[in-house]
This record gives sequence, structure tokens and C-alpha cells, in this order.
Amino acid sequence: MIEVNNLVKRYAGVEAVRGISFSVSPGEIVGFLGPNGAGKSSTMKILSCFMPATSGTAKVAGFDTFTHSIEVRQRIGYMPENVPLYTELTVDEFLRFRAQLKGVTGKKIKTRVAEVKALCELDSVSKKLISTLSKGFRQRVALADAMVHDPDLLILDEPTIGLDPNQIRHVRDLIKSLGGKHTILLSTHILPEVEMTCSRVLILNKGRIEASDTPANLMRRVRSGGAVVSEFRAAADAAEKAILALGTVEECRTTAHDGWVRVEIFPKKGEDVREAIFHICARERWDLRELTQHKVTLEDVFVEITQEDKE
Amino acid sequence: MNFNTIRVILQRELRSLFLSPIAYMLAFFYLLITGFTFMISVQALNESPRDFTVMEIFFQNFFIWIAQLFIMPVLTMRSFSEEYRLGTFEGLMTAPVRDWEVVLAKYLAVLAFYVALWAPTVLYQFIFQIVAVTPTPLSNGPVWCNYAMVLMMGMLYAALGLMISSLTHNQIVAVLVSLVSTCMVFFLGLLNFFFNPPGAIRDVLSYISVFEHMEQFGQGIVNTRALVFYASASFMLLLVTQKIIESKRWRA
Repeated sequence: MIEVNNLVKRYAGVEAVRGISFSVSPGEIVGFLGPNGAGKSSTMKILSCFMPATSGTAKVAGFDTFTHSIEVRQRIGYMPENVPLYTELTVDEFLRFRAQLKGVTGKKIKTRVAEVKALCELDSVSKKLISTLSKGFRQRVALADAMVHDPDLLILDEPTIGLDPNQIRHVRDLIKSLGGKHTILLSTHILPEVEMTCSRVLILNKGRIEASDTPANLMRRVRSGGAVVSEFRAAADAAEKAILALGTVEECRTTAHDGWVRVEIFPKKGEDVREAIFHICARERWDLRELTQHKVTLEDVFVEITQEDKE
Repeated sequence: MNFNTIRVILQRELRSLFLSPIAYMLAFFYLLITGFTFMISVQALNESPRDFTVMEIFFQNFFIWIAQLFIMPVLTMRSFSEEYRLGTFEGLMTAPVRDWEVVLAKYLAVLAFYVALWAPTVLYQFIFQIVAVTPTPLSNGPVWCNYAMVLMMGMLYAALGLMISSLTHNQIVAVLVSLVSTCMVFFLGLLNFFFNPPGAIRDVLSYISVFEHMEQFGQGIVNTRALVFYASASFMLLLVTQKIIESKRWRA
């Protein structure tokens, strides 16, 4: 559905996208992650034909975004980052206008507008002026706009920014339900959302793709994976000695307070040390009051990949 | 060419225009000025017999000209500037529309509103017929020539305003620069009346003189050179506008 090859975007003096290549197959939901300024929006703007690339090519459904931009634009629904809407129109008027503009004709205009309004829960505000709507509603109007012509590909630039937790959950479910039938490329900073919705994640940093994999595989790669935190009543140096003696531990940090010691244990790759810790405590008769394995989140992956050079 | 796209954008433009108070304020002042001008034209005829018809006096009036200079900058200031400022330009240009379809639709919307502003004045000559004590013959030809001239002038000023609006996201800048440019075009043509420039310059100034064209058309003389000037200048300005919005995205 998307074919990007060696894409470069240079603004006056700044290289925002530095030769990225990736492809997305039909039906995939791909999360586009990266710190602010990593080149996510630039890439999305090129894919949606808003601006041309400096070099390289981007193809949507086999059509080049530069030479066949009308064909591409007919097949995509793009939701820009800052949610631009004509605020002097009502929700109905706006969606009707957008549907017609995107080539929906005749009776289908009415049915499509009604469908997307229902999907985005906009029925209660149909007749309201967009200028009077809250941020959450505007966000959903923009989402409805992106879907109104039933495009094959949805490009959503931070679709859940500014929504409350309930609305975020609703939009997440909506996006999930659209997968399979539609291809979706979405950028966001809300990482749990990506974990739950996306079948694949692309992490961009400084204009380059740093990782492209399923969320599960990415989390397996993280160094802090399998880290264990434990707290028991013992002397700090005795505890450290006992743990390092296991031989499966790479690093161990201890902090002592009130006779208790808190240890952070980084085991070697693939090792689970929780059982061993329990056995040590049992053997030494140390009172154990905490033993948790750190659950790796996409956030850890994100931080590790995008902050590497700071360390 | 996709007429449907043009129609849809045109409708949206007109709707937004009529939903803003600006449209009604403009209509109010325009009718006030044209009505007032018509009244003084009739009064002028009441004072003493003239060599001109009432519509000739009407179209040559100073107030009409000043109103003409202001109207297009105000009508076109939002066209692109507002879209840039709100970011709706991004939504518009990522829909399957071609650059020049957008330019043409916005141009036609402004012209449609302009025509609507002028439409009521068509009645004036008929009103004059009714109120005149002695029956006066209608001079249809010159009157319609005058209206053709009004339309062509609108076409030129609208294209100019649209181009300037496409250059900035600030409506105030757009309206001021448009106003200055429109005045420059207008007053360049008047220079011949104040100075006596040498032959070639005089010819050029006379070629672009809106005032002189109006005079000729008012006498029922259809000057094809003027027609070519307005059509080609407007077309060129619209072409430039298209290039500007294209380049806006290149640099976006």
C-alpha cells in the first residue's frame, strides 16, 4: 500500500528526513513513533501529497505521490496534526463539503456523512458550528473528515492528542476496528496506544528509521528487559555479593535504608532471576518484602532507541 | 478539468463569505454609495440640461471609483490568507483537487459576490424612467458597455487581490498591499491627465488606463484592445497565483 524509497526532505538548511525507506502492506496498522522533530510529520505530509520530497520516491497503491498525486489523494484520508477546520460551518456542512470535494457523489454523500458521524460519535453536534465545539469534538470531526470518502489508506498525525481518556479509548477501538479493511499509518506519542493497536511500529529518530518491527519483538530487544527489583532485610554488601555469585547477573545496584536493602538486578539476556533471589533469601533467612520483574513497555524501547547517543 | 470540484469549492467560498458580517457590511456600503451617486447624478440633470445621460454621469462619478478601489482588496483578503492561517490549506490541498481548480473557484466566488453587489444598480435606470417627468429614451448599448467595463475591472482587481492574498497568511497585510497595488494600477492610468509624458509612455499608460477605458465604454465604444488587456492581465495574475500556491507547498 505504501512504498517509500530513500526519501529525503530538506527544509532551508535543515534535513528533516534523511533517506528513509519502508513499506506497508494492505490492512496493516503501522505506528509511526519518534521524538518531536524526528521527521514523522514531514513524511506524512509527503505521503499525503501536501508537499513534494527533496529526493527519493513515495508511492501509495502503486501511484507516485508526486507524478500521480490526484490518484494518490483519492485513495488516502489524511488527518493533519493541527486539525484545520472551517470553523464558520456546522459539522454537517463541513463533512458534506469534504465528501463532495473528495469525489463522493449523489446519494452516497448523505450515507457516508451519516456513517462517519456515527463512527466518530458526532450525531449530537451535527447542527453545531465547529467554532463552538470543544477540542475533543473537533478532533473527531477531523477524523470523520479523513474517513468520509472511505479511503484505502488513512494517514493520521497524532489523532488522539487533546482527547480525554475515554475518548482516547474510543478512538483507539475505532482505529483497531478499521484495521484489516483499511491500511492505517498513525503517529502518536501515546505509547500504550501503539502497543494496543498497531501490528507494526516504525521508530524514527533524527530523520532516520531506527527500528521497524512488531511491538512485541521490539520489547524483547530492550536491555532493561527482565530487570528485577527486590527488597529484603539484609546488609547491602552481603546482598550484592550473594546475588552476583549467581553468575547469571550482569549488574546489581543496591540502596540501603532502615535495615532494608533495595536491589535492582539486571540479569544476562534471557535469564529470569526471580526464583534464584527467593532461594537466596530463604537460605540466608532474609525477610523478603518485594520481588517484581520490571515489565517492559514500548516506552522503554522508545527511550532506549531515541536517546542512545545521550548516554 | 473537474467542474464538480470547482463548484464545490465555489459554494464553500460563497457560504463562508455570506456567513461573515463582512459581506453584509460591504453590501450595505456599496448600495449606499451607488444609491447616493445615482441621486446626485439625477440632481445634476435637474439643475441644468447636460450632454450626458444619467448613467454616464453615474459611472463617471468619483465615489464609484473610490468604492471600486476598496471593494476587491476586502473581498479577496481572506481567500488564501485565511486558509494559510487556519491551516485549512493543508486539508484543501490533500483532497484530490488541482491547484488551478482551487484558484479558479476562489476567483469565481469573489466575482460572483461582486456581480451580486452590482446587480441592484441595474434597476437605477428603470427607476429613472419612472421618476422622470418627460419620457427619456434608454441608451441600452452604452449602459451595458459600462457594466461590461465594471465586470472587467472587477476581474482584474480580483485577480490582483487573489495573488496578493496567496502571498501572505496575514489578512491585514493582504488587504493593505492589495489596496496599494489596486490604487497604483488605477492612478498610473490617470498620470496622462496630470503630466504630458512623451509619446510611447503616454500610449502605454493610456493602454492600461481604467479611467479612459470607462470613458470609451460609456460612450458605447467597445475597445477590443482594452478587452484583451483585462483578459490577459487577469489570466496572467491567476497563473502567477497558481505558481505561488504551488511554491508555498514546495517550501512548506
